[in-house]
Amino acid sequence: MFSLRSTWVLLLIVMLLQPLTTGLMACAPRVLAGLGRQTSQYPARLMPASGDVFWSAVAAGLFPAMIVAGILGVLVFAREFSGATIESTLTANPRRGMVLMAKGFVLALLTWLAAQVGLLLSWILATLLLSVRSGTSPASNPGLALIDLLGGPLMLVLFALMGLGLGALSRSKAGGIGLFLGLTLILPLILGILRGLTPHVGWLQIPFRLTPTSLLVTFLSGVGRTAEAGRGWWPTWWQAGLIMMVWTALCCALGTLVFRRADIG
Amino acid sequence: MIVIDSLTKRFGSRKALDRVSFTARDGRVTGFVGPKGAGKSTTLRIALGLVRPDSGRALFDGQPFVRLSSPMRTVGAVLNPRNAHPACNARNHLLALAAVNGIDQRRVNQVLEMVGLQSVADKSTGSFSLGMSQRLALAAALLGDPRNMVLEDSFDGLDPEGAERMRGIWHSLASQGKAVLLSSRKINKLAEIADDLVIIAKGQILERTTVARFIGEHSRDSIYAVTPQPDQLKAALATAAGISITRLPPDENCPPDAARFRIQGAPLASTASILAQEGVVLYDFQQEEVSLEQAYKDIIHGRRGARQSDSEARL
Repeated sequence: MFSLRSTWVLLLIVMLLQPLTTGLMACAPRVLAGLGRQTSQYPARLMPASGDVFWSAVAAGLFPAMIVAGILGVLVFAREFSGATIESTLTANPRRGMVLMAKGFVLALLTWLAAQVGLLLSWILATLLLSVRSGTSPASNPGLALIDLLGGPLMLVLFALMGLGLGALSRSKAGGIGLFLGLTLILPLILGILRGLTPHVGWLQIPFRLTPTSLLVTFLSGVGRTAEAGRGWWPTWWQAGLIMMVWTALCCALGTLVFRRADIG
Repeated sequence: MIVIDSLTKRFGSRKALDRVSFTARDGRVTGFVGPKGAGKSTTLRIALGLVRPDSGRALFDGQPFVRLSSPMRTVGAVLNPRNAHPACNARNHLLALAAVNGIDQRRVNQVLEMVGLQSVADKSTGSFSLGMSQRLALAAALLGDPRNMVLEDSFDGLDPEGAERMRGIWHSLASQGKAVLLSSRKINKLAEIADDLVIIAKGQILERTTVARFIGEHSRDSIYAVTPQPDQLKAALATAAGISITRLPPDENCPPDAARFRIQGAPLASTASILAQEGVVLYDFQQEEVSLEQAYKDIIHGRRGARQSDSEARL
């Protein structure tokens, strides 16, 4: 993992995307307020940000960072197959499960560090942009701060490990990234479109809510089923975290199984 | 000692290896030679646990590679010289491998010195030539001071100085009692360094021998003749005992009305006398020394086109 420039670049992106997104979100109400002053459609003064809005601005960067973390996970493993480095790796240590686990450990550690630092930067930035001048009202869930600040980076680690598993499953950069984007972006999109097409497939809400991206939304919102009462089953934030762990475990298990049996070269 | 025992492998409908067996003994350099697609790489990859065999096994000092407790201390392998990450410098590449295998980091400088890469140790491996990559790959293989070496196409890209250094290292390893298995398509290069020879073609072992014996058996004299009267030539020599006449395929130097022959088992002078007495016209008639490369090709093509060769020999 060391001396690999692209790894560091992707980790830097994971870290910096978060404050960048937070900054954009925090500036959006100011821009709107500015427009309102000109058109008299919006109040000229900023309203105090609610706790929910504040923390959603802090955690907003985790969504684009999730994509980068997943791609990083794919590349950490799959790029070894584009050259001959996998041969070097496996002739140094032929225990493939152990190789994958070691990569997973380093990947998890570095992703967590980058995500945690990025989230703390987002928090500081959101405090400067949203709270200092206008103040913040309490969040609807008093634990939301802890869920987002501590749980958010851990969710990113799960996405990175999911990417690692998919990289091992496909053993190709394009294939692994395709699978990852398919699961995180295309699958919820397709389910969302199908759900909107006809009222007879309301049950699709449940698989939609179980997609990785939807689980991240649920987790970071920190709310439980009360928010969606009367509209079918909705996982609570901690259930979303657990289901995301299952997704990651499934991808890693499949990747390990295929990688252990694959012919190399 | 490296033991390859009845390895068989299919890729789809193609049989890549068919009960391949041989031994690379301690204290000897074993040349593993065969044309492209013969099964050399598959054999080595199976031995190193990269490819799963359908049947058979490969053992290093009695153990399969994947069960070795310290692989780099038992086997040093070079399959593809460009196996380091291009963004990584040579020293860091070796340091990482040493760290993974619990090898003293001081060993890195030793192996860099052995292969002559000290001056470029801090350059990224992406800027390395093929020859430098070969040296780096050998340095990595030597890190654990292994008892067995497996090297594929290790002559490729080497300049004369690099090749000489490599030969010195392989000789030195063998003289220390280690087993060195060198795979290549180039028998002449292998013969310069190897003690034993294993020839493979189409997934089957054709010959297991020593280089000395191979040279002794195959570097025999023969006569090369080109004549526009092939029937007369065959008739003139038909009664001579112990002579074999092989019609060679035409080449660009052969006149269109002539045929090429290899005559074996006959002295040059007496054969020339017989042909002169019989009035056989000859365009070319000369003593031919069969090269190592030619003998190797004959073995491979002989086995491949046995039926064709038989019909040629009956001419």
